[in-house]
Amino acid sequence: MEELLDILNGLKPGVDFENEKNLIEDRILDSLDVMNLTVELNDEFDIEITPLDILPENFKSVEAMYALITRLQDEG
Amino acid sequence: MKKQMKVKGWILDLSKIIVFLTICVVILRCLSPIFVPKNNNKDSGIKNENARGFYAEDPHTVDVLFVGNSDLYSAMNPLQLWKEHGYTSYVCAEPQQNVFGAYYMLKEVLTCQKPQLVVLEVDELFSTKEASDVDEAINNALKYTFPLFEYHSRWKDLKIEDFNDDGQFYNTRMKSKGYLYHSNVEPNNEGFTYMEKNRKKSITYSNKTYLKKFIELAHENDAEVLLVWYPSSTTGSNGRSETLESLAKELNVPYIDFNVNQYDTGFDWSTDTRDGGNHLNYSGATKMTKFIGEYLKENYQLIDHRENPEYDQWNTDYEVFMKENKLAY
Amino acid sequence: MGYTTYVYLTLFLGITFLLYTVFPKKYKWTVLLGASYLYYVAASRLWLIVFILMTSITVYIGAIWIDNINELFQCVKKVLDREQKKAFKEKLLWQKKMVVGLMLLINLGTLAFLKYYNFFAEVLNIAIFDHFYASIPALKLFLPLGISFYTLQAISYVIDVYRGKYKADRCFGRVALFLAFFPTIVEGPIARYDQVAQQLYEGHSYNYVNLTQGAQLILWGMFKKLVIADRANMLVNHVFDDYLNYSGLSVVIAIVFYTIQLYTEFSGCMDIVRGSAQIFSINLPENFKQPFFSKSINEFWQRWHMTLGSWLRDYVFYSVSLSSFFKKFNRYAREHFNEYFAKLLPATTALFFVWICNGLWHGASIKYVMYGMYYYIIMVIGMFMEPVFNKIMNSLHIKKEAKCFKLFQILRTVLIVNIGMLIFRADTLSSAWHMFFSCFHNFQFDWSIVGNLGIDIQDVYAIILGTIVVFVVGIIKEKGIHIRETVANWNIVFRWTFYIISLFIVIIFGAYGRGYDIASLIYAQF
Repeated sequence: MEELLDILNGLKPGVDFENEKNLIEDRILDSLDVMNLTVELNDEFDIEITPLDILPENFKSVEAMYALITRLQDEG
Repeated sequence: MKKQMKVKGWILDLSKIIVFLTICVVILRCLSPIFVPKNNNKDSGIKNENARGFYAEDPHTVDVLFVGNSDLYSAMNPLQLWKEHGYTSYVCAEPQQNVFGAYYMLKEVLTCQKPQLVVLEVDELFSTKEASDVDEAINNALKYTFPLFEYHSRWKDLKIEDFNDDGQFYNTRMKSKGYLYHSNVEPNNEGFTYMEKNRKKSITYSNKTYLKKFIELAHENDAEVLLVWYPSSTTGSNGRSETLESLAKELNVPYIDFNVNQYDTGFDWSTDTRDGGNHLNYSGATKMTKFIGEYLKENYQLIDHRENPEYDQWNTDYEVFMKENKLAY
Repeated sequence: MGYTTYVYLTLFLGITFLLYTVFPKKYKWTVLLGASYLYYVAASRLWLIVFILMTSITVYIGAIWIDNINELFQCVKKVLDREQKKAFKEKLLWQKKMVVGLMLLINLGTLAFLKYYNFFAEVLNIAIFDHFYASIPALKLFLPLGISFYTLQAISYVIDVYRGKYKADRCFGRVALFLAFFPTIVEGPIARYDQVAQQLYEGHSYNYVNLTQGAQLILWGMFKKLVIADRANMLVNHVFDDYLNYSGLSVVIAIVFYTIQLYTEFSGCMDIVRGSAQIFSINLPENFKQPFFSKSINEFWQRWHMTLGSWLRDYVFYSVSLSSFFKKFNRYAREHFNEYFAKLLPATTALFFVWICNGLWHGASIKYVMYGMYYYIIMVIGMFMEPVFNKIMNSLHIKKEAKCFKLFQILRTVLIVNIGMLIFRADTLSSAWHMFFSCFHNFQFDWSIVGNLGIDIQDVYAIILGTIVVFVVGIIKEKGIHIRETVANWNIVFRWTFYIISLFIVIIFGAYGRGYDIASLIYAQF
């Protein structure tokens, strides 16, 4: 969770990731941000986020992203 | 019970749709007279004023009616026909006319004229797609039934008179009776070689249907029908001539094809066209009209009105035409 | 048989609707399939059907093949140990990639050949062969109707199956209908299989609300196309076809009117198409979301031609940026460049591919490639300069939320888009260049010239009035209000009067028939 927040803040400083729950719909993160984020997350957590996983519901909040990461780690 | 409700629902929906459409039809009928031009000249907004001068001819005086596209108004001179044989004729030709336009044009003419013979220039029978032709059929039918579709762009020119209920007063005369004079020469150096070209030779079902309707309409009004194809390097081909030949036979209508046979008229591609083979010029029109005149004399019982004082206006028109175009007579 | 012709609106839609209503639910989809192929033949040439059939068949087989490979894995993996499983999985993955590659080769290859052969031949000739007094000959090639659209739909289907988004469809009819559906075949929208295929297949019973609201949507589209777009077309052609003789305000007006024309024509066509589908209770995706209220170019391309944008995002952008090659590139960038650069470099590289594709998709010429590059460069500059802009705004004490600033952003976007439209419409890059500078030449606020640009002054007023109507409707929609539903709740006298007046506005003020040239659909040449 900590590392995730670090990455997010490094990518887009100034955004209150703890409280924002509609990052995609409110246009806080665009497809470029999602792409950069995905690349970093894949690297950091040794998972493989595919285009199939790039859905608004998986990236709309920190909790959603954390759930995605955990799921992909379990699937191995 | 449920099915009963459903059927009731359909009937209600259907009636709503029918009532809605009926209201639209009524409004179309009411608005159309406002937009229809009040005179048959260009300033009043009429379409193709050249083709609509027949309105101003005395009723029931035009004996031969020619209908077709721009090839026709370049190749047929009614005043020459008058001079040589005393037959009264009019050329109702519109640029890019199609057979649907021809059919409704004939209807228009029949409201005030009673020709004995109707001649159709068949160049317009060749089109590209069946779907476009069906669309054109609908388009022309709509425009004829509700002139609003034809003249809606007059919204920019509407005047108080348009809202009065005086009706149309078509009195603009076209002295050259629908013929458009051109004397310039631009030769067609390839002559009749265009006949070898492989042009689409079938006639769409829609076109054929309306050709039959056209002929029927003429027959119902005691007019005979004659088909003609003037020389046209942009559209002629042997395949097409064959198609027309058999179609004419099937419909039992005489057919003159100048692309195939020039009948010793002296027609010459180097002197008789004004744009390299698409349209004829005055020289070509003279030869074509001469032949048509003789053909009509031999095959039809048309009246020579030259001695009839009631037709004296035609003599005046002839003189004005020749003077205006600086022709010897 | 264009979407605004009588034959389509009355005969074709009418008969298809009647048959669809009368057929039993299980077979209603066959009416749509038959109508779609009939439409294809009527609107195009009979023999060109071969291409869409080929795409349908190859993609149908390809998807099933991929599914079979997956199934094979599922069966076999139980008897393998961990090492063998991994190796087998890799081998099968490679096989699946080959199938996708084959699909792309056949379908994208056909599109590429028919559409771009002459363009690439010319480029190669100029670059290489002319120097050797040789040349690749140009070919006279036919472009099958809708190939740029149905090919993208087909590719998205295969790639989705490859990615495991859904299973392959074993029903060929459904796949064929998905690709050939007559409302989408000419200009899109580029629909996804999971959005639309089941809707097309399941057969919907007659629904009065959808029938009438679909018809109303069609009427709205007709208004935009016939009253505004076809009218503006005349002025635009008048100036652009003769651009050397115009300068100053005339050119600016022509460019702005072209933007208006393209928007009202394309979105109007989309309305007619979506309305046509709604009559059958089928919901097609939207392509436009009030694009001219965008505050940035980024946002603009998320509101303009949305289905193309999302297709490029899902199948080019993500495919490129999440590929293993890109992973390595990313790592390299992180190690060798400073942090700021390293973050932006992969993104901008991936974007490059997206914009090359966008440009090329629109046309086979340098001009269209430059059109794509124009937007690419603007976006990249925006991305790199973001921190600088932020600093400037902070020092000037400009708030991002301020209304004036938002207005500034919108106007700035409109300006950038209009310049893009100039490139899109001009004959060549050099004419676009010339026209851009001629705007500043002889510029005077002499509005009287507006009557000399090919149409009467009343027609100009009609365009302006029409645009204002579209603008107001845009504002209403931006607020989330569903207009057709709102009107449906009015009392019958008011709403019927509204419908009838709207219908007659289209009939009387439409720029069709006598005195108006017929404007062909701009996007239909793709």
